[in-house]
Amino acid sequence: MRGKDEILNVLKKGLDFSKGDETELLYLGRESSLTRYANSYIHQNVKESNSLIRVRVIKDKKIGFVETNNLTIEGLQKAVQDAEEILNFTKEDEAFVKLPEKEEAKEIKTFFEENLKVTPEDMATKVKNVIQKASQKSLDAAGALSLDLEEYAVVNSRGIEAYQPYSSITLTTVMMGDDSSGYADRFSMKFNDINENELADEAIEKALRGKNPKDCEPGKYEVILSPYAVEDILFFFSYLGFGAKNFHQDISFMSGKLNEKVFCEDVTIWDDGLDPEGAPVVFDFEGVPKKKVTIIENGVAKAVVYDSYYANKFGKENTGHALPQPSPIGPFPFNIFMKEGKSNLNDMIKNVKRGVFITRFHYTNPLDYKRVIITGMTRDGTFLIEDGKLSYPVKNLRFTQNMVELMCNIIEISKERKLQKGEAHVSVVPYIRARDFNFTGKTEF
Amino acid sequence: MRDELRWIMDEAKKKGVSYGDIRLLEDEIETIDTENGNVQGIGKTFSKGFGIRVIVNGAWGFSSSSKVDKNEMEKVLDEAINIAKASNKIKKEDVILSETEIYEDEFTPDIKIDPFTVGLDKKLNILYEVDKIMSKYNPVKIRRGSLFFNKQKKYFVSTEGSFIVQDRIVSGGGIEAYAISDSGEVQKRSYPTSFGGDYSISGWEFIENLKLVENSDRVAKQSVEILSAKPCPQGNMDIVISSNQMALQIHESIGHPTELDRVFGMEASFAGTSFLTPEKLNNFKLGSKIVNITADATIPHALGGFGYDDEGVKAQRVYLVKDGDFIGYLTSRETAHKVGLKPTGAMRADGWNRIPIIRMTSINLEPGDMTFEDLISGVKDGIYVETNKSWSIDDKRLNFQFGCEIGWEIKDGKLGDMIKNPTYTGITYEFWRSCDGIGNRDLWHVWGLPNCGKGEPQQVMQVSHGAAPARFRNIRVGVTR
Repeated sequence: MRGKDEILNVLKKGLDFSKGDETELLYLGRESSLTRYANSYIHQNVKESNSLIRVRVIKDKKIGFVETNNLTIEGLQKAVQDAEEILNFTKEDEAFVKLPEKEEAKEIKTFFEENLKVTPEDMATKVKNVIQKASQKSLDAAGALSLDLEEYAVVNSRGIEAYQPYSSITLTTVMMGDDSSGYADRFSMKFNDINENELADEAIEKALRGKNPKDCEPGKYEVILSPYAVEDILFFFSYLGFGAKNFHQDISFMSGKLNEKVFCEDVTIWDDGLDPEGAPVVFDFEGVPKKKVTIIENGVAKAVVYDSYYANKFGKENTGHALPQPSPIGPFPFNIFMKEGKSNLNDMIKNVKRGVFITRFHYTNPLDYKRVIITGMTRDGTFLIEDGKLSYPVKNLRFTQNMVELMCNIIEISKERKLQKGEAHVSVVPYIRARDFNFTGKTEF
Repeated sequence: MRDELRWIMDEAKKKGVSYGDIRLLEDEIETIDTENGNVQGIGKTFSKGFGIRVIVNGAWGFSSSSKVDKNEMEKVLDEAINIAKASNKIKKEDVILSETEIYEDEFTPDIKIDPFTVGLDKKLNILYEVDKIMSKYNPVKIRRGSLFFNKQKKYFVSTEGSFIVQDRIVSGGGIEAYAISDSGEVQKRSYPTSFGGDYSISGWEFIENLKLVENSDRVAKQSVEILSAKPCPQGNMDIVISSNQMALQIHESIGHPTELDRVFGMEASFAGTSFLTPEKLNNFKLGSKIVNITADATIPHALGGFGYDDEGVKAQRVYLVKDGDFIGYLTSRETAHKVGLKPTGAMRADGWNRIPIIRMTSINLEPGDMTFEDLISGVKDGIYVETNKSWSIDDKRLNFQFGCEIGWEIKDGKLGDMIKNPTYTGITYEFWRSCDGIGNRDLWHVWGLPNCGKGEPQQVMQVSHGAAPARFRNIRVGVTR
């Protein structure tokens, strides 16, 4: 960890080197430790430390980018010069207006010093506790414990000087029996808040319940999706639909549908980078403070998220959702919340006459970006529900599902929600119960 | 720097490591992206750093740093040793590496024109010209082009005495057209293949040979035509699959399940395991008699090729499937020892800061003897599909489903009407056993895939797949919603 003063000083030196009309420097520094285990032993135990700076120089609406991990004065100067060199070849981007201006940001604690004291031994001990629980039930444990200590900083020629340290810990496990498996994960900003015993118990329960799975014929089923699966779906909405770029290019399911009902009225989804119930980040990768954006309200499409480029281009408010520039996908919501419902999981299961409980999806991918048709497999705990009870485990199923339709088919949403780290964002998500989920194939386990 | 690398490995031996290696990398990347005639981004990336991997008391440790000097090397070595000692707390058996030859060598691929010596104006002009041609088609609302260049120097030094220096230059590029109908339907067409195009260990000459400009009109026109094409038929029928889609089929259903670390469960919590369990080796019909699949890191210019892997094992060509029989795995020194095989030289890391894991090299469906006309003429009622749009496969690599950008009906041995949103699905071994036709060497191409994801933290690897179009019987197609 280099600290605020050192990083901002380095970045400000970079500004001094620039001859551009406008200049931005983004610092991304990370120390990551990862202890990976499989077959109930540690098979990979690694640490990495890297810092890099991304330089954006603008002159006469031409934009050049360079990224380097050479943080010496010479390295920084070369990076700025290389970005300026690019300007000789690129075209003007008429839609570019200006870099963002400084705004006051709320102070939120996103880094916890106790994480600095975590040793490889501490990591191994947490993993050992999970493995011991697995052994007691004659299961094999696999998974990973990661500890990331990060620093972000942005300076630009319009006065932005933003710095934020960030800590995050993720523990995942798959408990594996002869013909079954169970999954659980936990995310926290504090190492000691990760409860590995509770995590192990959750995955063990699924693996033991999943023994002797039976075939289940594909078709349309009522389903209960756990937060692991709901996060996966919300990632695709975020990636394909909730950002300004796809929205204005008419390739988002929300394009042309603002203030129209797109989901059932129980569904409200928002992005809020400042809510400590999630995994808060104070500002985006342009140094702009995060703003809460209600994307779907009672099923009605209300807004998408913006960065400075798309906000200026379309005359909208910058909501603080920039990715590191240049971003081929435009702005992106990192902190998604789905509003809780009134049910609890047990009652939701009791209300299902015949359906499928899904713990987790695997290898999901879009078949149709605009309609958000996703295919994927179930994994690590799929159960048939009959007459209000989890009746027996079933072999994994393939689904091919229009996720917009799924959000229109929701019957119940749970009160309980989980802080869930996904592929690209951290969300707070409930269980959902929905009708007519489209299973299109099956596999052999 | 060479002296420092040897010195730190000597230090590792003095500190009691039973095996150690260091990789030092210098990496330079240039990316150029255009969208609708504008520069979406021109980016240059420079990265340098090193990683040290050690075995202490039979357990692995790894650490890395971007600060390259002797003091930092010593600090990182100590970190790696401490991490290995922590690993030792939860160990079932000692790590044992299979024997390998020790090399002192330098490897430099055959590059004609260093792409970093070619001016940005020349590179951009190609993409501008593509955009100009594609913009003639009004429904084509989004037009994209991209070029990618990577120059790398890598040092590998081990406590066993290997000292290997490798250079690598990669060039790649592709174009995309998105047509949008009045009703809001979106269809995409890519060239030479989707997700960034084709990549090769080559210089600027590779980009010139791609003929992006020459293909841009067809690509844009087809994206518009797909909007009014018939839907893909539904049911079981014969299917002929293009070379670029076969690349992904091989990747997902043969490449990944033959990675021996997956087989041993080392990827169980993330990417999954494999149906190709050890008892199936030399005892399982994975495909029909005409299916031969190799892992070949020696093919000149193939993106999955190299001189030596990141354990210092020399590049090689091995069979994974021979005459339809499953006969080989992709292995590391550690996993090869567990099953009594030789290491196949498949261990690679995607950067100095990552530990090597088993990765595909160039995994190839060896060519057959059919012309494209032969493949089509043997189908009474079926479809022909091209260019991947979507992929998914279960966590043992059995049930897969692919979507393609475009297809055509095949009726009575002839290509018929265009179809949209074609998909096909199956169970891996049933699918490969149904293969009854493979295109000949004239139709065979090695596709470079720059974005194979695996591991935690995820490592993105450059791999490749040699493939010709191939024919499969009685496959379920048209799974849509």
